[in-house]
Amino acid sequence: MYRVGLIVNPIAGMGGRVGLKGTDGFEALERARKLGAVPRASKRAEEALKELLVISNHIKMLTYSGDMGENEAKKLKFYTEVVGHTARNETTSKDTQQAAEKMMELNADLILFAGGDGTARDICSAISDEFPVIGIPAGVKIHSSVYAQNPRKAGELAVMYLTGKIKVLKEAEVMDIDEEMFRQGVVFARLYGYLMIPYEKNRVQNVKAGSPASDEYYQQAIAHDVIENIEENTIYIIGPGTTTRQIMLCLGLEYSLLGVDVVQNRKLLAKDVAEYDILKLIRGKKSKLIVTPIGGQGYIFGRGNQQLSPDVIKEVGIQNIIVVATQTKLNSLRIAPLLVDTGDMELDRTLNGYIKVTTGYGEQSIYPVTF
Amino acid sequence: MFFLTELPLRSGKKAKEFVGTMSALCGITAGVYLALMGPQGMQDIGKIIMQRSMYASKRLSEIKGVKTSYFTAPFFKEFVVNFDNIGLTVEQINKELLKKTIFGGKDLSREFPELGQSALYCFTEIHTKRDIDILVDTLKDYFTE
Amino acid sequence: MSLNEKSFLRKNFHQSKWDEPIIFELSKKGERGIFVPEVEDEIKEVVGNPIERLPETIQRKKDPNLPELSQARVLRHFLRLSQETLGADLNIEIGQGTCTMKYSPKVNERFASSQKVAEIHPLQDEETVQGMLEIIYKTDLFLREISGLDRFVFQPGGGSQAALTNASITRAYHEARGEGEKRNEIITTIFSHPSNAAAAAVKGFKVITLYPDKEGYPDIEALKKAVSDHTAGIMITNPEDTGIYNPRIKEFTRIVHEAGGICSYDQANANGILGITRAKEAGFDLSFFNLHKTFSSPHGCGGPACGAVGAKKELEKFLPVPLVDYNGTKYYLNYDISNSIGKVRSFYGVIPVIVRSYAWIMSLGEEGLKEVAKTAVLNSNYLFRKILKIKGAGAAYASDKHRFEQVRYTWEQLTKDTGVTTEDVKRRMCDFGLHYWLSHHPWVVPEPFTLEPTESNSKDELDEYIEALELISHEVYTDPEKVKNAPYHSVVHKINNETFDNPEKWAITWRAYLKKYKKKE
Repeated sequence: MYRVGLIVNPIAGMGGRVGLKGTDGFEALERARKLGAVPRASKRAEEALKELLVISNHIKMLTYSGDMGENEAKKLKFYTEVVGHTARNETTSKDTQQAAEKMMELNADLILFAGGDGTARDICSAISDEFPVIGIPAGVKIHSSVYAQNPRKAGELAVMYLTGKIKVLKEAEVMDIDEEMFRQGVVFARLYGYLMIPYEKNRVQNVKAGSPASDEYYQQAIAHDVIENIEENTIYIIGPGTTTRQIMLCLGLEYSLLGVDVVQNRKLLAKDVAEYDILKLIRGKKSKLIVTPIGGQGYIFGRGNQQLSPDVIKEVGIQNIIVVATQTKLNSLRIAPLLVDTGDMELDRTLNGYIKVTTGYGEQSIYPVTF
Repeated sequence: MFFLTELPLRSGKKAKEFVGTMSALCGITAGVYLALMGPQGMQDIGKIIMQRSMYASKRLSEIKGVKTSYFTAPFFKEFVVNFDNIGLTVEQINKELLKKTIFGGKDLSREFPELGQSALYCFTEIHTKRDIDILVDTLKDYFTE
Repeated sequence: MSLNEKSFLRKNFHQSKWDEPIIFELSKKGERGIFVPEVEDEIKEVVGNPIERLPETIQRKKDPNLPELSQARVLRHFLRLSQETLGADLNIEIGQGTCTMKYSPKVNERFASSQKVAEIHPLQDEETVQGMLEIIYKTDLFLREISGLDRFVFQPGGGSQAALTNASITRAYHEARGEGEKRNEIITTIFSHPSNAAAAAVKGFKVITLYPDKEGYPDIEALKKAVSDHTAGIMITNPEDTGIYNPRIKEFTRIVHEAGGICSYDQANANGILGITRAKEAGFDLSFFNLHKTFSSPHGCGGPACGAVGAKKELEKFLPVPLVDYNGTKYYLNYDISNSIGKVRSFYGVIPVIVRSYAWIMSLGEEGLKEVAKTAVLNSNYLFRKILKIKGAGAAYASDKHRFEQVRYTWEQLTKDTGVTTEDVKRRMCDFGLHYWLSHHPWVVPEPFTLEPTESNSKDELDEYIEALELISHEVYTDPEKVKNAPYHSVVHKINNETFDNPEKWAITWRAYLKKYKKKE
């Protein structure tokens, strides 16, 4: 019997159709309701659950009461156990967190959750970073790569994982943007952490190829290339991301996955630094900046790495930016350019053009960048 | 159903690998051959080749001025034949053999000058006693001319 | 769904299935397939048992682990395996795009397997192989005419090895000019055959990959950024694996030449441009043709093959030895090449492959070769227009323009609509006895499939293939489970191919199989 935790954030996705950018916070939700928003998370969750019907005899659904999952699971006649209740009428992020915690305690094999970036953040803050999850995209903001392409795909992935056809997990980014600022037209995206999702290798990687082709393998290849080209005394600013983390791992250094670290002569100068500290460290010295695209859209600046401010970039110098990305990541952009949104229009314009991207050991691409 | 297609690969990490269309059908042919021969067949052919090449070596060494003991270790199907004491080059000898539709051994004098006028002879299961005797007699006749 | 009135599609097809065991499981102690003729008694008397003279340390203690079968049983076994294989001659072989699986006239097999070809030895005296040398020399002349380059060599045993030869020549060229160290970068495009990038990497070059511009053409602005005094050269395919021809190819080669680089043309598949455009006019210095593709030698499930490498006059002196030359009275092997990169394969090439190609070119002549390209491109564009009409199917980039001899298609829409993937479609195609291939990895075009109809197929045959795709698309939208669980009429049913990715589960030898699987039983 597979034990599947199901968490539906019933209010996710309500803002989208009425032009609000997300429903985090009560006020926003009220406004969405007034504008005639209807819930769609429930429908999206059902779409995903339908894919699980093929193995429904082997599944026990663990849910919270009512529209947090119970209704959806029971509607499709899954054997369902309600493991907790929401006290109030409105579901809050606290409920999502509690539900996720509970399901982890109960040793669920997998948590399926329907929502948006806010929901992913809640789950991420509640459970350990080794616990397998799959996101059913239902929110307005989907910057996090924990979500499957569509609900159906999420369901399929769940079946493949549960039945053992997929065994490998991979880290996927949980990102969110500040909704209030977003409504005012300012994008401020932060990288909140990573969740483990089943890694459907054959869609993206070398099948039948004979090499242990995992994301990590290619990230290591990139790290070897970067490390081999490290210059003496130059200060290296290492941006957040799993690809850049591999450089720190290969150097045997401590690192902050979500923050910016600074390295000189293969030694850690500072960990998880803010813009001010970076500027202090590099002012007047030769420095290089290593970044990787964060999130699905291919942003190299302005999403999840705001510490790398326009001032930092200018101090380092554009010619000293090293972009690293696996070929899988570049290919996933479908020939769309990499993006920058530094907050400094002038700088964005200067960065516009082409940039060298290190994609492997001795492998590079010349890739377009725009803003 | 199974398709063997081209699968060239790009390098990963520091390792490099690629494969493509090269000689798969030759591999299948070899597989059929080994299945037909079986363990006993392969034992037999090894022994038979050694017997034939040793016989050839022995007969060739009986020709005055011909040395087949350049290397003393046991050999399988190939051995070096030296003609230094004959006073003819391997090239001349092979030209003469060719007139009798015999392909002489591979001329080693260019690649291994230290071996003098030497040729690499090779005998396998397809060379009968009669073939070997004709070779030896032809050489004898030529050298005594 | 527009099913043809007169349909050739075989809906009751079933692949032969023999439930044939592994050959080792068929083994029966004491059975023999062939006997090796015993040596004559006189030889025995003279030499005795030579095995005894071998040092004990190199004598086998155990018999080789080979199966024991009679000749008839071996024949049956391999015939059954061949029947369980969907070969090129058994289906409308247009599903292996980029590989140019054309019909190879059977009469050419008779030339290749003639004793005069099959039984000659590469170390025979030149006098005794004049005919063979003449065929090599004349095939060289043909390829010179077809490409505009000045000299061809037939040593490389396949396209990847030919690409490696080009990379080696590029390196030798720069070394001869004292720039070997500095010029360490090879540029390629993401839709060039990946062997080019791989070959460059094997030669120690850094590889710079260009992505397409918004229209799907190789990005010329990216190329301008990529070239520098580190540029050793460019190694590209054109038309690319998408079937898109780079209209600015001359501009590309000019930019690389101005940067001091060498331009290598991967013409493994030249079927769409045969007799239409030439490497020389496009500005290339090096090129290679796969004789087992464009020039009709069969692929033989992966060889023996030949990648014929061509070079411009200035690069001739770097070619591998020997070259076949003619001095007015006789053909001879020329080892006297001043800066030769050496040998890339033993002797002078895969002779039977050259013979088939020679025969094929001779039978077609100049007009015939042009006709091949025109028909192949026409067929491809017919297929292209028809497939774009199938629900859920599309083509990546520039779908309003003509393509060359092949097209990389996509089921992206179909997958978005239904969750059914190109892998599922591939398995379902087996149920109609049709081969269907996806794409090289890693995928850039999502849910890809690549078709190349060549000149060998008639409209009826293309229609049959199209009908199969239409039918499957219809099935996907009405009964997706049917397609997901395919195949039903093949040798085996759906298999979990995850083991292909897991070295722990591979068993490519009998011994590995016993060790990994039999132990547990």
